[in-house]
Amino acid sequence: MTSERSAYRRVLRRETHSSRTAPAVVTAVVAIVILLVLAVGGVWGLLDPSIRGTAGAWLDRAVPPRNRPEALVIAGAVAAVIGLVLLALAVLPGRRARRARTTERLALLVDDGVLADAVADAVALRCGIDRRQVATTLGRSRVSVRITPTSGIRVDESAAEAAASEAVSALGFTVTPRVHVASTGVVA
Amino acid sequence: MNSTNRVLNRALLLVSGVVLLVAGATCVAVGLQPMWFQPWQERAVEAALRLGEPSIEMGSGGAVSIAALAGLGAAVLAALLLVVFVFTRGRGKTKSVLKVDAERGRTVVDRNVAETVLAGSLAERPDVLSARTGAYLVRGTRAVELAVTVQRGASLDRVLAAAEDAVRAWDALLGERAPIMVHLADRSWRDALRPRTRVR
Repeated sequence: MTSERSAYRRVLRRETHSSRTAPAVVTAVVAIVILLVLAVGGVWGLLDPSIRGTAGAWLDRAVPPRNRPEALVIAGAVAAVIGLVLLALAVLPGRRARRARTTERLALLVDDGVLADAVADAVALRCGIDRRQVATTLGRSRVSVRITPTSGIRVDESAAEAAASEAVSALGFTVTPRVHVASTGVVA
Repeated sequence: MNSTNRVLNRALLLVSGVVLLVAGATCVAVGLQPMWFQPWQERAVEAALRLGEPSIEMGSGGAVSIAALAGLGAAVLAALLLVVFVFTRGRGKTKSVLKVDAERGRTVVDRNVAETVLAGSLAERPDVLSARTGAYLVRGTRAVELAVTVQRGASLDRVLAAAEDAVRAWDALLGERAPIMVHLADRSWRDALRPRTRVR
């Protein structure tokens, strides 16, 4: 039992956070390519010193000496921005849009998109409007529901609120609903 | 649910990020104010020359600096370590969901059984688009992931209840409790290509 609980804790913590595997693998592959190019170029340069002159001439053609400072600034700025992105990926928690809990038997993981759909469906059903007239955004602790009413028909905000929180609590999660009804309706 | 070492992922990102940021900022500074860095540049060139001095004779008559050889070795070693890093991502999947060692042999339950019993019964429901299972080793325990993609408009608590029923049947079949994670997953772009059966 305790091992099951600890397995659930570990799995749910990992599943609700990004693994950072994709950016790490991309970074590693790019680094491998750069290192291999440097190594091959280095060996070539040692074995055949004339290649250094050729490489220098190629560089002069690609970036003429008088343009060097600008090229250096641009390349440096690009590198610094990529470096900042990688730093952010390394340091930020990387929460995914999912929520998790354990039941007596299971670990339950629900994508926020699924819950948002369920909320929109429930609100549309309760208010008697078309599903396309309801837009929901699910945050960590609140759900915002934007309703575009049918022209001439009043929407009961408290009923919409109740429907939204019931849809989420049916799965055992709690969020605070915030309903916003548009001032102009549509013909539906 | 795999057992990828995530600390290592973040460590690699952190180191590469710092290296790129420092190198990029230096390049920008040198490009904008070359005069400030003139003395540094001279010192660096001097140091590089001094570092390159100790050399070994090659058979063909040329001399190779020891520092260049060391740098080459370090680059190859780093590339090898990075290849190992790439190929050790995403581990932890297992082929079996249960292994029981008894006196007269061992019983192994393949993950296909879980796919049939757990996912099969759910995938038949009209309000479920697809259901699939995966088996993973989590800290030495065999755990099963049951990922369910529901139809638009499905009642989630009903799907969850059906999943719990399937798990109960699975427990009865297996004769013991194994950790199971039920994942109600977003529809992917591939699910848009599936035939849309209306919820009955």
